[in-house]
Amino acid sequence: MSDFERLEEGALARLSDEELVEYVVAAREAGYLESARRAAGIVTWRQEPLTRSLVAAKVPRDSCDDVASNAFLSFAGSAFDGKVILSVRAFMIRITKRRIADFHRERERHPDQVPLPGEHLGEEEVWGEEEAVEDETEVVAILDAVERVLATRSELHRLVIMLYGPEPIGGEDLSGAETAARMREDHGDEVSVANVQQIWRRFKVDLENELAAGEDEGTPDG
Amino acid sequence: MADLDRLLDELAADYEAGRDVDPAAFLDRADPGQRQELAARIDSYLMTAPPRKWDPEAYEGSLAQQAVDRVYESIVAESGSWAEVLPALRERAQIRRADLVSRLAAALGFAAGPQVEKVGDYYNRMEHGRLRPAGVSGRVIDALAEILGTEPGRIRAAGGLPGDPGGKGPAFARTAFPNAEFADEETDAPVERRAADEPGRDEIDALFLDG
Repeated sequence: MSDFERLEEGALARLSDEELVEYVVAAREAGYLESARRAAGIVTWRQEPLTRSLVAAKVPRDSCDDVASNAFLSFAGSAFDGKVILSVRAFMIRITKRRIADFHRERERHPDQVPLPGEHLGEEEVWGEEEAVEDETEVVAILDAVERVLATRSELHRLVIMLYGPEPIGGEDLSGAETAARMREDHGDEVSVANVQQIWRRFKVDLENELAAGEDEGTPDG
Repeated sequence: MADLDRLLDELAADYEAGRDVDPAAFLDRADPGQRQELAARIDSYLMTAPPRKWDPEAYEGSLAQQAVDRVYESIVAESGSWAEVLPALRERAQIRRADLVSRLAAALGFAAGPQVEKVGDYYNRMEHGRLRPAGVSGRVIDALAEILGTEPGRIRAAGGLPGDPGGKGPAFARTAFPNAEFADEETDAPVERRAADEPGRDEIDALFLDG
């Protein structure tokens, strides 16, 4: 267990998004849940404008808060569980787009809940093409890196990672307990929650190294 | 309708001044045919803008706070993080579980075999997150902290009990995160039944179940 140092609110507010997410994980691992909550609060609150902007462009006004709330819940859960990868804002964008997609899928399943005329933004706006903030080449690069790192893992570890891993890497984003239960029920493997978290932590480190190596290769020399 | 550059400049000025920003309101002010373009430009700006200035008052009651509190409460409800922290502390202290149980039982004043076994069963439940933290008494936590070489507050905090103030002190006159010591009594509510009220329950049950 690392020597975790608690920081007061002012010091936390001066940390970067990525440092805050690291702090949340360290605080939770050290058992300081209230400290983890403080840092998670600051970093999640920082994402509000970006999330609200993404949602406002794609969702009827009366549903914006619901969709944004779901995005914040997903993000906060990932922050506490140490599942945030890449830059925090990029991660938040991907999570938010997932929640927006969930909203539209739900509407398709329940057409009686389609907004009344004038309620939504206009067909081309609600269903418009995804905008430039999510670069598809970046998405492909991430998924390629995920594939490469997964290929170095055993079958059991691959299964755990894809059950426990967050949505932006194509994972099911289950909790540690849910992952352990699925491994037991679907595959007959006994994996403890602590093992699930350890498998994920090692994978995350390797994935981040792989992504960093990819960025270095892609940097023009001049 | 306002032109896009002006709207974006206005939004950026509000954001960087720490004022509340509602992107939807800016989209409403754009020509309908330009809203997607404005949305993309707002997103791009917010993607690279400086971090939002921390405002504890604005955080209070925000969607972000509601989400974080829900996640936090679900973690605490699952038994805090004793399932993560207690094995780690034991490993750091290099104490086998059986030795810890013997020492814990002795510290609590129990020496008979069945009593030690019962203490061991309760400790096992703590390590596996199957015991309600609020039910575990201060005597148990103090004894555990002594054995594991840590502070009782650390074990309390891991169980989501008052004991982790979350920082070394408030940096603002008003803080969004009140100290746990002053949290609602509801979070540490007394259990409904006392051990003495029930047949078959003993002092060990009381120490681990009745707080």
